Amino acid sequence: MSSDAHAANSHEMPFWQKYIFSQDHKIIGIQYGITALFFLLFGFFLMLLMRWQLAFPGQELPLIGKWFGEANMPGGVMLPEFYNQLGAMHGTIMVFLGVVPLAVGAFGNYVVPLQIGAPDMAFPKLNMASYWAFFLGGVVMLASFFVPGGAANSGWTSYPPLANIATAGQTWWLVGMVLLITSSLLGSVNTITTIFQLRAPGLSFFRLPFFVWAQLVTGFLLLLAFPPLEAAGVMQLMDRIFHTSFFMPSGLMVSGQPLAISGGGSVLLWQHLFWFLAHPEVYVLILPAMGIVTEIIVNNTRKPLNGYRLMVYSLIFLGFMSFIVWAHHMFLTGMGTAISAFFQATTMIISIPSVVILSYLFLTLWGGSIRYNTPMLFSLAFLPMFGIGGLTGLPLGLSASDIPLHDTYYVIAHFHYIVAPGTIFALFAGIYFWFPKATGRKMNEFLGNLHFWPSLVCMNVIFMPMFIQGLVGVSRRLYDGGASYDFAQGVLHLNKLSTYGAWGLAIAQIPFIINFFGSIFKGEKVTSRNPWEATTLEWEAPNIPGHGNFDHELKVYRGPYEYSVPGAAKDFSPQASEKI
Amino acid sequence: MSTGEIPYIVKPRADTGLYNAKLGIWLFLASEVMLFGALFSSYILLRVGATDWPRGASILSVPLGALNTTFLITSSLTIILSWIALRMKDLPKFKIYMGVTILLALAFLGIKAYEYSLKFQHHLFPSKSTFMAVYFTLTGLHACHIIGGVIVNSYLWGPGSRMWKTDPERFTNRIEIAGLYWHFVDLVWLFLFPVLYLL
Amino acid sequence: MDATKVEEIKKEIRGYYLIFAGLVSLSLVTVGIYYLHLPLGFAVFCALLIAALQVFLAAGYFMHLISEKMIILYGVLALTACFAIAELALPSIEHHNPITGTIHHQEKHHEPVSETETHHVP
Repeated sequence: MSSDAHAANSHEMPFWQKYIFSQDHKIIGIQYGITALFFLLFGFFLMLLMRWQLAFPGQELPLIGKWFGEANMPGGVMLPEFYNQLGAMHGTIMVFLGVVPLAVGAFGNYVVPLQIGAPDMAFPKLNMASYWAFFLGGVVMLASFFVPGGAANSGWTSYPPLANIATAGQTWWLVGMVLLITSSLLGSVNTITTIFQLRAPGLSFFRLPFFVWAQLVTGFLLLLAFPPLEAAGVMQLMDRIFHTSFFMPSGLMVSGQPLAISGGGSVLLWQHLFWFLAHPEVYVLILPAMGIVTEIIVNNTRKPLNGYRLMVYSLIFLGFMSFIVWAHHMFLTGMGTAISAFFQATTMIISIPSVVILSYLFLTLWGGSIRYNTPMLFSLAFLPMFGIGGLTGLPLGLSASDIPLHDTYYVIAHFHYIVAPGTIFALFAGIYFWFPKATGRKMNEFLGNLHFWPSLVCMNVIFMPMFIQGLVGVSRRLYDGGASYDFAQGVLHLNKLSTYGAWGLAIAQIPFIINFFGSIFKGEKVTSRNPWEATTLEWEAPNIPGHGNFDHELKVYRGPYEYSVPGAAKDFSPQASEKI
Repeated sequence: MSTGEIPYIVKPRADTGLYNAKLGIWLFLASEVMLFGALFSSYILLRVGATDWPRGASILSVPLGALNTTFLITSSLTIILSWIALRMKDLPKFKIYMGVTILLALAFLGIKAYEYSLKFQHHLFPSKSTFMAVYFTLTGLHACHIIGGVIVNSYLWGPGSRMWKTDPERFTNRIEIAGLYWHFVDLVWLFLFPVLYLL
Repeated sequence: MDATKVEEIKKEIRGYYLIFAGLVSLSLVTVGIYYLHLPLGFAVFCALLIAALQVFLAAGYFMHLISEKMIILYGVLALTACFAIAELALPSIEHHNPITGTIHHQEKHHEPVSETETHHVP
């Protein structure tokens, strides 16, 4: 039979096989989680460096400035070349090494098999391979800072022709991306197969928790949207290494000299292929977050989820639409009215399912018995923050209003509102929420509040001013933050405001780091395997579940959100209990 | 089934009608369709935007391409016959058919290598023109997929076939999965050949 | 193995040989059509049609999609087909729909050598 999986996970395994090269979805989930949190912190530090330069352009960074070497910060003053590396890598690391591995690799791997009553993911060896491909990709990305010329510096979007002629770090970026894309592809095959094949008896599709639906749609997005970027990455590697001209048009001159290439390529080809992935990618960033927030809000209002079915249909519709909106990132490339109208229409339509989901989450709060624990605080904050982010996207989705706003700080503010006080808050919420299942202990509520409130305030202090800067016309990716432009003089002081906010945000994470590691060892032990009194299947497993997850056979009798059922003994009716 | 072993590794699940690996490989193949689709999309965009574009047959050898096509189609047949041999509990016949599949794949690669060397001799490198760039990239990526298939098929022919003694049904399924992958690689070539060589 | 099972499998094998013959013939037809030297547009149409037939034969029978009951499989493939078509078609449509009424109103086809001469940096 499947002898290797069973024997391998029984008690005689050496440490390196049990914890390093584990095939258990829970260990792999934690590996993804810790690694991703490290990368989030690293990306955060990159941003702090950038914010110093933006607030105090051309000034020496005290104490640590000299550590970055003469090539990057001579005399502690940042060079534009280094600023560009920081910008490109901050985006790349946060998206591909931080948020997605945490949302999909960590939460997806850890929670999905438990929530569907499965003993593990469908392909444990593939799961392990996914994690190590991700790890290797991360190593390659970090190593790229140390090659001559430094890391990739053409934006996370790597547009040719600039990226084609950029320094060696860009090649490392491409290799790293190939590894990360491979990791995601293998992971998505695993997630989708697991959800279709390994559901417990009685767990039909419309009894699945919304979190599982979100991971299912996300899996499809990763599966079908990433390969075009892999193709584009291969072509850019061909351009850089073998001097092909996939993306290099004819007649290009660099430093006054014509390039010795065949020409005939298309820069827009890269943009099409890149955005074909990168648009679904942003839904990969938000869907797991919506899933997490839904679980927590329903649990802490003690009410069923309003509009579960419609929310699921919205999720599916959103996933489908996300594949046909991508060129709204390309409105300024000389696009004609017909194709522009097409993409504007699809972009407007895609806002509808998000609004449906957000509205039902708000509606679910109405009349609930709300418990304000830390996961709930982060989940509640997610709603208006994502609302701001989403609404500010509308002018970007319409071509006419996008023209003055494209590539300005308005765009930066828009997407950061969605990812930072949006997704990342949801991920924090998930950590606080599922911590007892993974460790048998609760995180500290006081430290949780100390983490939450300043974070919420600082996020807004950082990003709200950026809308103003963008509306005035300050471009993104300027290493002096707009200082050399007359029209920007009136809003330059906002750079300092955002930087102070960033410092505040940094300090606000300290209670979280202390809480996270401290609670693993010293946190208050939970007395039950279902401390939040939730209904979904993961709470049927013992805390720190062992190999195979559950200690008894499961059968599912009802939907995932049966709270406050009239006539029931308690205010929640677990999916797997026969009695109401 | 919530405790212990992962179910549906061999027996299909009733409502989906599939065993796990079969769904897994089809999902993987869907992603491969998007990968090669992206490359074909690039080919279309580059050709449509080009001032001139050579007819493939003026640069590439149609007879060699046609020969390679027959090799791959035949190998698709032989890999299916190897799977049927296992369903008839005939391990030696499986080895013969799988062996032929691998040999045909190696023959394909041999001809491809010869074609590449002919091009390099005439200084027709990928950097020469977008046509050459597209040709080398598309056929190169396809060849990588063939190599991957050869490695997997060789493993299943050799050390992997030990599973026939302990879990014959699961081994048979593995050959089915390998076959599905192999047919897909063949299908990609059935698009590549006319597009690159004939149009 | 009982006799009916063996008979069924023999029929299956004969079916596979037929599909094999079909695939080879279609490839020969593709090469043959090439030698007719048809205009490009028509040649593309024929090539795609024949390739589609080959996909139907190989995917339907060699990959036995025809006998899979699975709506999921069809669903995944239909979805993939939709997105692949979007990905194939939309960039080229975009290429043929450039912005008008500007100084860069030259057809994007007739590529940059002249455009770099007229292009000015603002």
